[in-house]
Amino acid sequence: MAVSAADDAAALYAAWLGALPGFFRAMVPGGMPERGATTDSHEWHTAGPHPAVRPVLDAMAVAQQAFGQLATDYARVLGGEASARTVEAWLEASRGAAQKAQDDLTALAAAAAGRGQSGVDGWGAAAPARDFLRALAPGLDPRAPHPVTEGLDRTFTALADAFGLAPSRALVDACRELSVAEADRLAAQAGYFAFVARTWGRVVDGVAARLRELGARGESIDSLLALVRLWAGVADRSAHEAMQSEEGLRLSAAYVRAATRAHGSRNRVVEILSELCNVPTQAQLDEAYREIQELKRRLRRLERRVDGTSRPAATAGGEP
Amino acid sequence: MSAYDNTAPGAGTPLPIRITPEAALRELAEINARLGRGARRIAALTEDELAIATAPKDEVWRSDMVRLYRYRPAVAEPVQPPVLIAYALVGRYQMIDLEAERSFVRKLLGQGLDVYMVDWGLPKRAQRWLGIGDYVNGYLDDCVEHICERHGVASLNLLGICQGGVFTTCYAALHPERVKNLVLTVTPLDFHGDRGREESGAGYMNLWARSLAGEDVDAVSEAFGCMPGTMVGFAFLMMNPVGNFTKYTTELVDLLDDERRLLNFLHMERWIADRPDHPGEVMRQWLKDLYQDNKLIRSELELDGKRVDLARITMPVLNVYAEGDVIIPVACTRGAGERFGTGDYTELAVPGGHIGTFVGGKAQKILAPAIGDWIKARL
Repeated sequence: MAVSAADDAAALYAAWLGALPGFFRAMVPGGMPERGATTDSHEWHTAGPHPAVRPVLDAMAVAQQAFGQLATDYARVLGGEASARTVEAWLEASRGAAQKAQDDLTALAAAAAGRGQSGVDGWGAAAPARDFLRALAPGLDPRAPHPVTEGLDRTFTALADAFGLAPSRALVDACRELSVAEADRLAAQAGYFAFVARTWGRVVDGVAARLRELGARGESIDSLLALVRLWAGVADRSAHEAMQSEEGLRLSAAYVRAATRAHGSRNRVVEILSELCNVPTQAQLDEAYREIQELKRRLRRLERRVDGTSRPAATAGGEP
Repeated sequence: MSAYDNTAPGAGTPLPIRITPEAALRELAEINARLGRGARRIAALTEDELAIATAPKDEVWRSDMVRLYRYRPAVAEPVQPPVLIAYALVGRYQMIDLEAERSFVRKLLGQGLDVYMVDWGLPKRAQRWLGIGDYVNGYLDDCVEHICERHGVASLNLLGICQGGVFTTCYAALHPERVKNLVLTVTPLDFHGDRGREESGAGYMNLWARSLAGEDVDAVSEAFGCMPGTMVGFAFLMMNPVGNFTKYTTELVDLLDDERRLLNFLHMERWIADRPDHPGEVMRQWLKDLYQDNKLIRSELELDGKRVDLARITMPVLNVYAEGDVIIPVACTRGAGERFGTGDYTELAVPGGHIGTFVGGKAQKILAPAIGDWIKARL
């Protein structure tokens, strides 16, 4: 059930990185071709590379795939009749491709938001908690509480508490809170995705402007790598401006807030389950850690007080 | 006229792309061949070839997850008192000794200095309550005490890097009698120095931290305990989403056939991937007290109930900043001398970025010799 903070951070980063290849391919004049056969990016993976280089090899595979797609698309389009001959024509064609990539990402974001808001399954990675809850109390669906159980709950709360059922009610409440928090997290993530999609979409205009500058100076792009470098320079500026913008900062803060709340809600569910199972909770362990840390501080202060008379140390002897 | 003849007359600017289909496919084949060769070479690399932080050193003290190392001196009688280096918590100390040829610590040793390094280790959930005060008045003070006793000196040279520079600044203010000279490198001092001087691509961490509410930071600390190292790493990746994509395309392709440069790249990647978890309480203080409330430069920061008064920093101070630093904008560190109590304050600008200060070719030629000379002139 545990979802690490890294997963939340990865989702934000993936919004940028995952979208890159699609917009990268928008550089191909004549529109974004269908995804064709790509080179087998993993063919050169040999068994047992050093763990320290595995992430590099994986990243190279992604890069190779993206570059291979760009090159083959370029060759196909430039070899056909749909080639753009002016920056304006290229811009028009590339805008269409970028728009499609943007639409895909926006649709993904909307789907994510819808999934959260519709309550169809806002549990996400917390699904095991939901399943555990259902196993524990069949018929109790925290997303759609049964009217009978709701009524019983209201009428016989005190009696239920007397029979020791308070934890199960607390668990239901915590699960409801988790469901809402997960939905909010997905919505915040979707908002951020949509923002990133708009940002990448603007890169095409920047690339066109650079191409015009080059054309005006009589310079040209003679290799795909040079084209990628030009694109990256424009995309880099665009990404930085977007991330540092008021909207970018507001959306990322909203996501951090929502993800933190969802994480806290998961912690609460786990805490109740742990108590039900007589397992020490993280909060209890944290409290023990806090007390240990405080005791260490007290010990340190005492040691400093005792050692105080010997400071500063002698200035002679010792070793170089 | 061929479809790729972009010089044809017509409306608008001719598209200045002169890549034929044959050339595109030829280039792809060349790049694939280079990637293939490179990948096979990378996959065959051994631990010896990938090893970082190889300067000989000995562990001389430890407490909890913290270790104190003494690098083996390069000369028979190294300069005294020793230099103690404190790195940041957000990365591992190995960055100062990434490779033998571009090792900041080896260059300091080459200056005849006696170098110690505190390794903050890998904090776990049990360390979530560690605050900046615990690092400054606890571990760092213990290290200073150990070195002073070992060498029979009353004070030593303290060198802080980035977040470690903040720790050493706090230490120097709280324990000035223990610090002979203070060297700060790429250290944020005025966390609001970038305000009104925002520039694209720089200072994102400042903006991001200030975009959060104080209660957001508290909630993050409460929910996550320790901030996972991978999340800290992602925060740095987020600062350059395009560059972190293109470095595996345009950059890596260019250096795959160059063994030396390839190993440089991989050593850096290895260091980047090794991010320790960040104690929640330190993170809370770091973001709220420093990034948001800018208490350090105003001498309002309190550690363990004591105010960090920069006026108490009366020892000589050398403040080194990187001219192209986008993590710690120059405006956040330069010009802080007037806040210190010392009359001997020096600033040194080095070329390159935040990490380039310690591993970049140009900066390497300047940094260690300048620090060595500065310290030796103040013994």
